Amino acid sequence: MESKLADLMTDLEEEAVLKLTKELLTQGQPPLSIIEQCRDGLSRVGEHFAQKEYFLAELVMAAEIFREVMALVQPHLGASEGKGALATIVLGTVKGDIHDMGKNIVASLLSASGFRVIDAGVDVSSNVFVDRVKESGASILGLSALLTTAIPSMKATIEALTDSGLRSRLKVMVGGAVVNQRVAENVGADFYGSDAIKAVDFCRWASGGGSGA
Amino acid sequence: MGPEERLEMAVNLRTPDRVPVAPIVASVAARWAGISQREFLRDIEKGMAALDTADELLGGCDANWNLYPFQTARSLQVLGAMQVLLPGDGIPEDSVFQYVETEVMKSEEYPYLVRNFPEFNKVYLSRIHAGVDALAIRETSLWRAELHHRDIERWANRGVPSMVATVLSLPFDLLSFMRSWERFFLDLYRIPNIVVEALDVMANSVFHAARRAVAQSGVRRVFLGGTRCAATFISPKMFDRFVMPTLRWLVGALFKEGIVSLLHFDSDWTPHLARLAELPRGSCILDLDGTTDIFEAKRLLSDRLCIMGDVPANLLTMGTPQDVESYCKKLIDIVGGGGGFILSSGCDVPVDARLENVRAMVDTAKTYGAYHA
Repeated sequence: MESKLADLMTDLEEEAVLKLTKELLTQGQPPLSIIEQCRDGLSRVGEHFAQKEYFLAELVMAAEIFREVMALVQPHLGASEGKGALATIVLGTVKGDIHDMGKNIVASLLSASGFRVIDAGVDVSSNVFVDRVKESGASILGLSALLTTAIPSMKATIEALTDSGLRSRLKVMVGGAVVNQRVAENVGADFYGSDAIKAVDFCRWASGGGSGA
Repeated sequence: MGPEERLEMAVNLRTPDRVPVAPIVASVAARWAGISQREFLRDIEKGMAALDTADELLGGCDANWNLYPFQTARSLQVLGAMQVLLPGDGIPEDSVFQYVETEVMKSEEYPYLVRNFPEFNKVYLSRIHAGVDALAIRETSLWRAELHHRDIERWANRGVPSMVATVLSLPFDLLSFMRSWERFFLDLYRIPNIVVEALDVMANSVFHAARRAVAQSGVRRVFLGGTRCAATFISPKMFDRFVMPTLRWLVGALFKEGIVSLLHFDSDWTPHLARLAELPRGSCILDLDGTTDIFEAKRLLSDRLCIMGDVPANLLTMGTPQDVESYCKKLIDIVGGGGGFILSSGCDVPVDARLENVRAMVDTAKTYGAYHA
């Protein structure tokens, strides 16, 4: 789909994206189409990231521009429009660890990609994760850790989900500086994401939204 | 050959008798000595004794990684560049300390920082550390320098050199702590010019702090931490604009004074490595954490900079001594080839590392790491 808005979004031209969004809204373009074009731009940002042409700073900027676009578009959305999220995802940094950099960028990108994100915060105990998953009906859980000492908390959280009978309907992804494939297998996760874009791809795949992980 | 000579030869890209080994032993020393993290950071005598014990358990390393004076509870609470959660104070007694990151400096404060960084820095410290004023900063700096001096002497008496004169961050990282990482990355897009001005001013301040610490301590290496400017976070293009100019200037200015920069670079630096080739030969130790491709670093930089690293944290906690030994042998064979290599842990040895794994690292350097004349 040819779209100037998507191109500007891909190039992270903040001012130009916001200016064009306002113009399109004034011209009466459907708000959902504007969101779609920006998401298209955002997914190209993800492709640049996968190609190592963009880095985390670009992802942060892209998520920020998207947030600003949403703030402009939101008042124009009808009551029922844009409510159909792809899936609900609970995210958090596990007990014993308060690092939030990785979790925050994953949360921003997932919500920009159309998922409903429940951010459980940092230093989250396994019973809080269980409660959040239960309340929200989430189908995906993302656990983050930067400290090796927090890895047992990942394992404990996944065990607690099994004990409460929630594990079978849930996909669990893990990430963070000390996590790798071996750690993921060891704690009983379904997926290890080495970066934020891989997490988004996994969630799309896990929720049946295309783009294989 | 003594450890200092061994280290110096490696830094000068020559081959000592064997590969020097210097794992970064800090919080794990408390675990091995059977004291809590809280005691380790607050009780100086017990903390230093724990570090002595760790060195004995490891059979003796080639350097005292003297981070301890900078990581005591008092130092962190008054002089630390970020707000900190200490064990026993909001987090359990035996947790490692952790940093809290919030937007402390506002974007409109850049001109103030540029005008007078030393003053701004005091204001910043008083915001992140409750109740800290100029007097507390001065007193704690003196206390820390005294502790550091004592620590260096203690190890020197045992024939073990201290690794660094002080612990500093690259201006890019320091500014990102002040602004918080997300805000800071947006600044790079929105207000790049004043960011560059701020980084220049801060580089000058880092230089003077480093020079002062070298004069006080007699140790001719300084620790310069860099993570946020790794390629995990920013593109090589941004690196060229926001990092390389101050890095080049800082390393060059220190080297002219005979000071070696220990570039403690965490996260993935692989795409930036080629740029480091323009730093003066022998001016740096490039200390990698297991995320950067250290073999690529060797390929690109072997005739420029000494390389240090990079046994990964999760190998030290979850691996076996055999796993560690075989990885160290690979490092010694490839990165150690022709000299210019110091075997170390990738960043700190994690607090839950297995002693036998770290011991395997030290032993492998001593046995397998010999250079044959």
